[in-house]
Amino acid sequence: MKLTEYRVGEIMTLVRRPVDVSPDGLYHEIGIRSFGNGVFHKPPVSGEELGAKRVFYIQPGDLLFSNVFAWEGAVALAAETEAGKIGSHRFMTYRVDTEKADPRYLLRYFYGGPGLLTIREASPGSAGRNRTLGISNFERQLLRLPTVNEQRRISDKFDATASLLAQFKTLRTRSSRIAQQYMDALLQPLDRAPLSAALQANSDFVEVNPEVTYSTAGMFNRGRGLFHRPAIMGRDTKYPRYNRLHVGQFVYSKLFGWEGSLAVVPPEFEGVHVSHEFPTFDIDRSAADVEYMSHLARWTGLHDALKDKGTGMGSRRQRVNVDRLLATEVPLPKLSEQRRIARQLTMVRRTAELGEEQTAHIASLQEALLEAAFTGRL
Amino acid sequence: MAPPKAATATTSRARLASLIKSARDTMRKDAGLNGDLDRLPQLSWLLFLKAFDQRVEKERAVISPERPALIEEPYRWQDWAADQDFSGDDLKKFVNDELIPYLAALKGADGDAEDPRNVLSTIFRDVSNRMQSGTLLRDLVNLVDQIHFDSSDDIHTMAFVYESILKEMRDAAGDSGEFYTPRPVNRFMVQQSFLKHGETILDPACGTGGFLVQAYEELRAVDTDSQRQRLHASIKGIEKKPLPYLLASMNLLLHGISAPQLVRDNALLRMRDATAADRVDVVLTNPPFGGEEERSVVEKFPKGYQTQETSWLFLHAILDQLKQGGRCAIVLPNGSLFASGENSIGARIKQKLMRECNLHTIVRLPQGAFAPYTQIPSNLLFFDKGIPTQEVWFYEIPLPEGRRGYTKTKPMRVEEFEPCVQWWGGEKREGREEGSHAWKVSATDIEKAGYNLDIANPHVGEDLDHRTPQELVDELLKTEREILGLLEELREGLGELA
Repeated sequence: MKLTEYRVGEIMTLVRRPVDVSPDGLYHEIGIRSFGNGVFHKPPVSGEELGAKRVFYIQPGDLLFSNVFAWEGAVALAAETEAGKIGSHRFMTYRVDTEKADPRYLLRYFYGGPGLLTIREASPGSAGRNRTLGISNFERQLLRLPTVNEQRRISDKFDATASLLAQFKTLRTRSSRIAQQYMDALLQPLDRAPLSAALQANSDFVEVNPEVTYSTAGMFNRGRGLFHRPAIMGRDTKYPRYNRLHVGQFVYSKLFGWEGSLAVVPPEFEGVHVSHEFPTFDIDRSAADVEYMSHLARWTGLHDALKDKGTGMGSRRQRVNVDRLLATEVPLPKLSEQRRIARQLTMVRRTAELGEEQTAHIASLQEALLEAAFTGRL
Repeated sequence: MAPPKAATATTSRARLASLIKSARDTMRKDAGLNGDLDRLPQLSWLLFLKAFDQRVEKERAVISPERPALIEEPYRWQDWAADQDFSGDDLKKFVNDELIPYLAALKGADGDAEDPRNVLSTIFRDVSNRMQSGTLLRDLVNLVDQIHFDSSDDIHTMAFVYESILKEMRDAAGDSGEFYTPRPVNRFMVQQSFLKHGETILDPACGTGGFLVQAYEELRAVDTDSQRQRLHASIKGIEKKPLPYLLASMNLLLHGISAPQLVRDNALLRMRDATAADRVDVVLTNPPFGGEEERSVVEKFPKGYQTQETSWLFLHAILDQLKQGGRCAIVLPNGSLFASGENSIGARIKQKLMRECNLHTIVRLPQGAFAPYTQIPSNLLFFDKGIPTQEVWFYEIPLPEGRRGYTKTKPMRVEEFEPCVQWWGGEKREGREEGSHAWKVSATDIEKAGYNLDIANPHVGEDLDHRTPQELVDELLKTEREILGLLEELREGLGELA
């Protein structure tokens, strides 16, 4: 790829279009998201509210930089939807010389390519808030660009891909929603029984020894399960005793039960400690299937049922006590039926997990595309 | 028991298939040919010459015996191919040094657009004999000589067999962006274009000529010779690549058009350079997508519409190529319908389309309609030039009950379009009603959504509550297949590793 060297000031020009603010006019301000995530529109304000703020018109085709956050990729390209919108003096509106450069190419060059370094060179402050992009410094910086035709070719490819990726995200979201509804469709129609029919409280309390290191866990809300916390010395905790988890137990958080902090303990949490605020229960194998219970713990239907089971005042004090939890009615058919349903839910859950892996791959694909684009491999 | 007629057709299809299998086995022994990509062109030009001899020369000799043969002695099939003793290096030398150069240099009589010799020379300009052994070449010629193109049944059989080879070749080639249009799709699009005699019909990306043949079949009932000549002259195709061009010529020839109006050229360039006189009444096409065009071609398009994406370039060129009141039916992938990014050229072209034409119907094909070539979900767009779009009707063709997709052995069938044809409301599109598979969207709403035409069926769409687990799993499968198709499209678009 043949590259030509330009100064920033040779390929784009700062164009300011001051707005003559009238107090009863209505103005639509824009903002720019960091990391190349585009323009957003703020709620409209009257001229009076704008007060003495200096504002400027945006025009479609402007290459926009937030001079405060440009160093973290707050760069955008104004589209038709930005016609007539305004931005504060913090937003620099550049017109690109299209004989030399394709604005779409420059956009990606600046937020995700070598241009980000150029911006940082011209944003001298040290602390985040002070790293303001200096205009004259920026315009003196050197850029190396391929021919404008090559820039267009790369940008076309990028646009096409971006459109497909957007579509991918829509479908991915749709797929997880259907998976969620599948869970409802299987569980909702079943006969119900209180959780006490399946659970028996059983905690394995251990006295905390100041000299011993304990592996501990916390729990995500909305049924997303347990997570490991850093190991802690006994002397560093305020708890006099810990509850030791055992595989296959049902556990919940009294504090956040109302938000769906429930789980069945998976093998990797065997022997891990939680505070006494996390009551544990043995699952009665003659009444309930462990795998089935782990799905119930993730089910929004149960989370919803616990929402108003909190006692006490204020969101942080809404403890769900053990009696209330055990009295909560859940779908609980006979054991063979539970096993059948659990198998199906596990399969759909697995597809959802694979979907999450896809989403992660797509995220790295976006990185890889940028990398490829600016190393002549796209 | 099967009726006797069907039994005969099967036999002849089987016989042909076995002849072709022997031909491929023969070619496999030759050191000069590597893989199907070499073998198919070799077989094709020989088949073409044989077909030309039988369908054009012999018929011509019967109808107008006073006119000289188009191919002169000793280049006629009967002179060199039918002579079993003509073999080895002599044959190879004759074919390489005399026959092919002779055919490539043929010229039609001045002012006679119908003269098939122009088609012959265009084809043979790109033909070379790749076989190194004259003896094996003889064996191959003998096999081809056993294939007859006499009855119209044989022609259909031949067309079927060679399309199936073509399919295999496509599998081997994995040609990006070019997908063989399934026959039911060809037929449906032709049918719903309500063709009339006297109209000019163009497929600017004609491939092997599927749409053109279908259009010809639809219109072929004519009374007089001059009407037939006019019909032959009104069916036009453009194809860039030599092999599909040869196959399309042969396809049309086999269907009885002796001088196919096919041009081998870059259709985009040709359409951009076209004049008002070149405009046509109907365009039927499945343009390549995800392909890239040379910058010089792209630059023929107005500034705001320059893109590498071939399907957009085709759509743009077609808008200009149609007469006022002209009609178009075109295949586009989901990705193109969706394209709605703020700076998207796709959105701009769709805006132009909807302002200049009445985009009255979009038929959404089931996932895998183009399987096994691609899982990319596709759509058929129907529009008339001259009036801006007010509303767009969508019709979703469902997968047949109990089916989860199409396969090589169980492809899409013509009957699956039947409910859509019923719903269509004839040429005037009368009495269309919304239903579980049909819905309409106003042009204003589409404009608001940034020209995103990838609009899901609202009747099954988002309201998934109260559906059975079975329905939901079906829905999940459908979504996942769409994701798969999308990822394939993404892969196509990225091209080869640089």
